[in-house]
Amino acid sequence: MLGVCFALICWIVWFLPDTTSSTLAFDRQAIVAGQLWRLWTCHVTHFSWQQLSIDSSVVAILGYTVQRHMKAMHLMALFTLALPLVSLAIFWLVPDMLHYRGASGIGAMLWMMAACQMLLQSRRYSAYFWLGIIFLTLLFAKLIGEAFLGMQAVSALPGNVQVAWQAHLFGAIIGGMDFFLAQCCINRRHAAFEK
Amino acid sequence: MRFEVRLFSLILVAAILGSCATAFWNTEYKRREASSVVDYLYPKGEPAAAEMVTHITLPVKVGIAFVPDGRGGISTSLSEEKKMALLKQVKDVFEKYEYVQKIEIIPSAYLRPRGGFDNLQQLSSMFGVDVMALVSYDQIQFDDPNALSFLYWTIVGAYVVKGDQHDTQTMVDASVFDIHSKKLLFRAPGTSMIKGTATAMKYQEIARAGREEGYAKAVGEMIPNLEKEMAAFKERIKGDASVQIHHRQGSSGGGSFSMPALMATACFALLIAFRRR
Repeated sequence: MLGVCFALICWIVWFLPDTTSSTLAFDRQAIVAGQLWRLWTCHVTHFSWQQLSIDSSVVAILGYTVQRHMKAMHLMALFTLALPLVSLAIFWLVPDMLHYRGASGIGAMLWMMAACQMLLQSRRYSAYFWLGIIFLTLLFAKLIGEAFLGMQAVSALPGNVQVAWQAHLFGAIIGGMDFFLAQCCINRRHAAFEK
Repeated sequence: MRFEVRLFSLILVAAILGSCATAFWNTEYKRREASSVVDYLYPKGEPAAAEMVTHITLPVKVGIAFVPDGRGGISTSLSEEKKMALLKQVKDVFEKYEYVQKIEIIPSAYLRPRGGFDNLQQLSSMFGVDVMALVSYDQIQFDDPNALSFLYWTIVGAYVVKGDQHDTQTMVDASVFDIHSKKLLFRAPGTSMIKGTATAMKYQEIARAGREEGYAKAVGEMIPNLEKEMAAFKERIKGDASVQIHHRQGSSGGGSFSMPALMATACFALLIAFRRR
């Protein structure tokens, strides 16, 4: 339900006046000036209706799917940490980017987690294992296309906005790291239980 | 004989008081201060810039300044501080838009009367702006004595009777130019009319306050017009081949998936649901 709630917040923010939603978006100068809430809130702001509808749908669907395999509190904590981490990664590693909006960093995180769940929680070489591989490959293909081939067409952004593929990459890294850390914890618990 | 002396004294006093009263009794008086964007940009009367494609790079950097008037850049009723306060209101309009990166309020001292586009180019280099919003003004103030002004001859009347009325008409106009192509992108006007009365002794002070209020009201009226014009310009350039929009490298970024990605996600979720059953 967390993904659905996140998508709903995106829609609520979309219907707020422009001046209000602008105070929530990622704005490098404003963040430097101390408006740190933007690190969290920029992910619920969007440039266009098309970007909003696709991003929020992806987050809602994948959030719902991923949450079936993990505790709600875990996912909530992950969201709380991942939102500023993706923003901070953009802030420090992409200094040219003055403005950023979009929930796809979180979408990429959930995508990675869903693919990892599929891969590691299925029997090896089963149909679902291959489905996980395909899902992961699609994410990598999107990242490579956007980062190296400049494929604007694989996104739903207005023409005047560049694809922030870095947000997708950082989101995917955070999703992958969280999944493997969680797996390690589970494995340790199992090992402790067996002892 | 004594009666004649008294009569003469009375006439003399009346004549002296009357002549004193004329010092306060203004006849119709007109005062005008104006600055013209055409005089400033085309001091030699050269024709408008040739038609060429305007390249606007987003996010845009905007400079805002009052056009200096033709008399050496001195506006008698608007101090530099007042000008800055009025330009701050214009700045607030531009700040709302995410495609505006920076807005610089440029003090009058940096604008040369009749400086032309050469002066604008200098400002562009000094302040790092691409687009300039030039605020020109035209204010005229009429002073007419009203029927009560005849009481000025009592001298006391000049202090207590509001026998002067002023009528201040102001027009301000913000013209937004692309400095490189010298093209007018859009403009927005604002007008105001201030009326008031004053005693002869207080007239200068009240009239000056009226002129300042006239500017403030005209700028206040110009602000919504400027917002409308900016929105209209944004729509207009979509179909205008003479204005091309570019983007600074990495200026605005958005994270987004595509429709195929959404479909893949939906299929994936369905398969997961199917697997659960």
